[in-house]
Amino acid sequence: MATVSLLATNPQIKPDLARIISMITQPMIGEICRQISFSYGDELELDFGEMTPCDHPKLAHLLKGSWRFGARATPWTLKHIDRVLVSTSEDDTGEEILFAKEVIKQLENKKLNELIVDAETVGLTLGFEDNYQLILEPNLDDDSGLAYWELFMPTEQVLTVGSGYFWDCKSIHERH
Amino acid sequence: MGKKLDIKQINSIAKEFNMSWQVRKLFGKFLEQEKASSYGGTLNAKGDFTWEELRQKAEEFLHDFEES
Repeated sequence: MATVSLLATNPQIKPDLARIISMITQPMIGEICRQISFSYGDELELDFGEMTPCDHPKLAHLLKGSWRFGARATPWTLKHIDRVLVSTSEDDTGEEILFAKEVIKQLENKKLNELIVDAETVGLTLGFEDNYQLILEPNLDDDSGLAYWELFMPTEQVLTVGSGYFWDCKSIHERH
Repeated sequence: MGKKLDIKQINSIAKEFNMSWQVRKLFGKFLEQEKASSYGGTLNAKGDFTWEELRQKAEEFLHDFEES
């Protein structure tokens, strides 16, 4: 499977980031968020589309979507009608994490209406029906080397954005 | 609220064990399931894993994968 990537350090290239991500993710618009879960490291995961069992014997009782979004370590905010319901940070206490995990479940069974990337800040907004918004605001100075978010797609490709203006679209079968 | 250190450790383990992106994604779910099933690690009270425990879990995870 082809791998596409771009290091958009040239400011003139930045607008392409938003446009290209929008093109790649367009088929996801209209899909329903079927499941909210958390992976190791309290990473927020949203599953969309057709749900099938995970292909590992110890995970066969769990389902995964045909579209799988992961927020990695990026702080996120959930808004409803422009009101902040919860806003997370890496310094959240155990109690705050539990609260955030409960509140974000409001997105379950909501239809994704839009996915917008800000070309300047690389911020991501997922707009859902009933005026819900999930917002990721990456820190462009973050030098952890981690992607800001990733999206596993039905094409058996994974789209990663960050760190910085870097983005990549590769086969899910490619090795780390 | 994702923990950078934890997520970076998973990436490092994925590299060491030559996991694909798809398998690394499942491995993160597997670890969370292990914690929920009282097979968590000893790093802290939440059941997070030490580096050596993560390596052991990776071996177990991949072994089960190959057996299936």
